[in-house]
Amino acid sequence: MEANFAALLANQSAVVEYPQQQLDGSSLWAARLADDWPTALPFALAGSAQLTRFEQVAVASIQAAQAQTAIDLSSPRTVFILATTKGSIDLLAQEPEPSVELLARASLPTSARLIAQTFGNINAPLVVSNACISGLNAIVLAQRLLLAGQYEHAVVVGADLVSEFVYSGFYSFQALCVGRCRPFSADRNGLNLGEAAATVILTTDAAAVASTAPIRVAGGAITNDANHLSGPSRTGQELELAIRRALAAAGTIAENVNVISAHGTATVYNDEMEGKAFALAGLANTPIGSVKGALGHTLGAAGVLEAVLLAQSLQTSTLLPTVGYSEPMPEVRNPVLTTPQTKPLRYGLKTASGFGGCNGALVFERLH
Amino acid sequence: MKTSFKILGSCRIDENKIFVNQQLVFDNFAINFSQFADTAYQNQGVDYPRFYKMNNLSKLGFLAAEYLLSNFVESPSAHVSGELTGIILANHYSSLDTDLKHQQFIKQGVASPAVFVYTLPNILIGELCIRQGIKGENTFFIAADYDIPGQTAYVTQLLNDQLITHCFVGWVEYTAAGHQAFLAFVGPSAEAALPDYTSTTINLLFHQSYGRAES
Repeated sequence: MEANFAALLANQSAVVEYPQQQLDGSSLWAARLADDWPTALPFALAGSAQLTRFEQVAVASIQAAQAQTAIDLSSPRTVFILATTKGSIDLLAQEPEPSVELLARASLPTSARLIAQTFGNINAPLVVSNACISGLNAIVLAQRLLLAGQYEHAVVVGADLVSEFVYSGFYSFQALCVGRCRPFSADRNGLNLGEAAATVILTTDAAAVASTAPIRVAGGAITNDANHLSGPSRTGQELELAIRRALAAAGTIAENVNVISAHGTATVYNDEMEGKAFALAGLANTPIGSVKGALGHTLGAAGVLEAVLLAQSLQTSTLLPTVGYSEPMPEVRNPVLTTPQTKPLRYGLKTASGFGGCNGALVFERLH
Repeated sequence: MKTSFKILGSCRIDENKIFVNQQLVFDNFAINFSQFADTAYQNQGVDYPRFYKMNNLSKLGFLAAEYLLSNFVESPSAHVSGELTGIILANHYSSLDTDLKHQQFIKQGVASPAVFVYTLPNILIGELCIRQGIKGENTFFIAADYDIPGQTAYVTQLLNDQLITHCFVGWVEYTAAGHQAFLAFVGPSAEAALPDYTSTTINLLFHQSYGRAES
């Protein structure tokens, strides 16, 4: 994750062209892991050889997070929460008429169980599949379960792959950008997909936190547009409602938010809707950024991946640039971060929206 | 003192039978789910052409909600819609039925956006939110089995924290091997005759056989 953070600061993008990927032979611009990605890990990949690629990516991410904490992931007081849209859906292409066994193998409860078992955890893992807010939603869920005292620690892993299943669908929606996407820019015209796994380990045990600048998951909320399945709200009122509720849950106000890590997919309607929502929420002057131009839209992983980057921003007092940004769009009044900046930060807001009309907002607070 | 929450109404769809508040309200011989769903929809007498665009998972959940609300014990108007109503649902196989359909389209060389959009389980939640105007907390969980204690504890927390006042809860599963819908609408009520919203009562409503023996 440090390498990702450094690459973002250097304005680099992992989005590249994959020729002849789509059904009609056109290119896919996406951020994908190399085929031999496990060989680049600084540790040996855990888990059985039977894990799917999706499960391996999730496991590797959890291993990297585990190395930074003494928290016992196998404890009955630890819950695993998996956030994903499609998990091991790439398995469906393996058989012309998928067998019952294959369908069971590809199902999300199977993946979640195998991932949790790899870390010796015996609790029933939770799975959140709420489209593109899954990762953010899972962190909000984890925070609430810990507040309620149901568990002491939570391992939240968000993961999704760039499979033909997914990119052919987004292509049919004409939602994909040819070239690198341009979040919050006047000439934005679509998104790049990305594959990733990201993990946060949350705890109620202050003594277990090693960082000198610990991050509090201060509050979050989920809402729905009740308007359209695949297009965002026209007004942004429902994302604004999620932001308002997240700020209330966090015990703070809009004026205290130092930075917004937006969804910023670079589709025409998403970025416009977010701009409206931020203005409605009294956040029109708060700097915003999106990492989608660098890492792509990682779907169910996005909420966790971008929350981790936001946490690192707060901890290092560093604002990340919006890779791919070109020129201002009129519907967004916020200053868009275009170069790395250093300044003291306390509150960060993460937002996300997805198919099915869902919106999520999450507030992080740097404690020291 | 904490408010006690009640199950204001429930609906279960087992194969071709629809039960509302444990009473059989619709039973129709049908050769497949599609025919059953269309007949059940027409029987409700609602005019909602979106229904015909939905995938089977959404149709199943939509019908459960329509039947539940049309047999509501209290006036539903005030609480069913709005920012203080939530939907928390779960199943095992996500949107598998539509996933397989999308995979077939890929094999034939052309993906369809009208199919692809339904390859997410929470699209069912989106359909219900659009139909009922629901804007509050909404999350789709995937689990091997219906985790009634877990879902009930989470929804009760959302209600106690006043993030929502009312919530649709349940389990809606559609695969080629079969379908099952259970939906309950919960919220505060002074009506003593209504069942309390607890995992015990939800467990009974979900598992027990209703009325006559089910074949």
